[in-house]
Amino acid sequence: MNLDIKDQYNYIRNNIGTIHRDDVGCLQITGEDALDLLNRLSTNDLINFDYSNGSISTVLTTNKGRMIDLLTVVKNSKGYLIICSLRALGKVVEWINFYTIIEEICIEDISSKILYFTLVGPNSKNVLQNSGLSEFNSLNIIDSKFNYYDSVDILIDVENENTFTKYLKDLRVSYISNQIYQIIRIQEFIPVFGKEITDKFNPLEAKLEKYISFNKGCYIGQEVIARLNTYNKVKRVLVKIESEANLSINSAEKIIFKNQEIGIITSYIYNSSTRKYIGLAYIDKNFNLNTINANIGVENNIKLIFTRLESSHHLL
Amino acid sequence: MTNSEFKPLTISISENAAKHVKEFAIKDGKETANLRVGVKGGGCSGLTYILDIVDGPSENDKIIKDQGIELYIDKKSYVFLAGTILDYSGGLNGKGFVFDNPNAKTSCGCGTSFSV
Repeated sequence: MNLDIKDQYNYIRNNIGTIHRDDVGCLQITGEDALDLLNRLSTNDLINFDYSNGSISTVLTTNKGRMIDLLTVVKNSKGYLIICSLRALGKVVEWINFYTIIEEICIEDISSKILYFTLVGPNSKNVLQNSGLSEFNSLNIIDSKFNYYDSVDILIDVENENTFTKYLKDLRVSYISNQIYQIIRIQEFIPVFGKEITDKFNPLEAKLEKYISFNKGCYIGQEVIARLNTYNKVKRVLVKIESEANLSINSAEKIIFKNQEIGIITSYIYNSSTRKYIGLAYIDKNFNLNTINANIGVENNIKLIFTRLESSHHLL
Repeated sequence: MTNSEFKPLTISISENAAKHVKEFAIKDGKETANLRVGVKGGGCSGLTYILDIVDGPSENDKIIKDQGIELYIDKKSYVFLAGTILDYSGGLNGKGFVFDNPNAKTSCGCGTSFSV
């Protein structure tokens, strides 16, 4: 699509656009103990989920309740697909292998054999489902993590790329840039590996409660996460930030307010449609100001506006 | 290190725990008390203990005879369990079978899982 970012951003308000997600990794896991092991290693109830209804997301956690990655699990004809960040894939495989002791499990990295798309725009899920998707072999519809944008994720075998591209073209679905995805996922408070999802943060801080089952029983990190939740001990919370300042944020950058560190910025991107920068940050849960002038790195007196998920009624 | 301080890295079972294993085996209608001891991934701390009364060993199991009981341990579990003493804690505050595992750095509150 030969539109600039602003026009692409406006395009998906009335049309369906698609983003090729080359940041996504995929593992095929097989064996009779596969699901049981994944259930014992991650936060959501993978056993009692009805896989005919789609996909389920779950957080792989350490025994300190910190995040390794956010996984999405979907059933296929061979077993289960685990969708994770491509950058986290090695760590995810290593983690599962370490805890595979008596289990009958086989894991294969199939990232190079699949293509992953996010479709976003009005009625995108229904349009796809009502327009001949069944002609594709080995196609998986993955529930989108977006709450406010109408969206759906599609995973196909790489050998179906040409057919699928033609199919999207027939539906008048246009490719949009990955930058649009980054803007939307920040607007929707979606954490990603390496930025918001690291072993420094837990899933409650990252606002991933909907991917945690509090009654499924034990999994690695469960005791810590249950305690944080029950006794309201979560110290930081993920917020959206907005600013007009062009900051260079390569890794987590501290937010200093009145000589005190009140949080860190984890993502920061320019949204040309609003002519403002938006980002995500973890801030002290008890910090209740919404607009501050803070020092960030070498920059002083930067105006930041915080939006908390609870008060984010309209994100678009 | 003197000979008296040397403790071989094996897995043992206390007399009290063995007594309870034999009782469970009888309840299960088993003629002999054979116990599979192992670990699996999961539990709050990372690794969960497994105890199961079984008919016999699996291929490549390590077999340890102690207190009139055969303990079967798969080789990967053995790495995490070497040196463990299996005991039984009864009474009002008892937890049932208890693992005294020198490899465990931390354990969860209920004692069924540990980290190394």
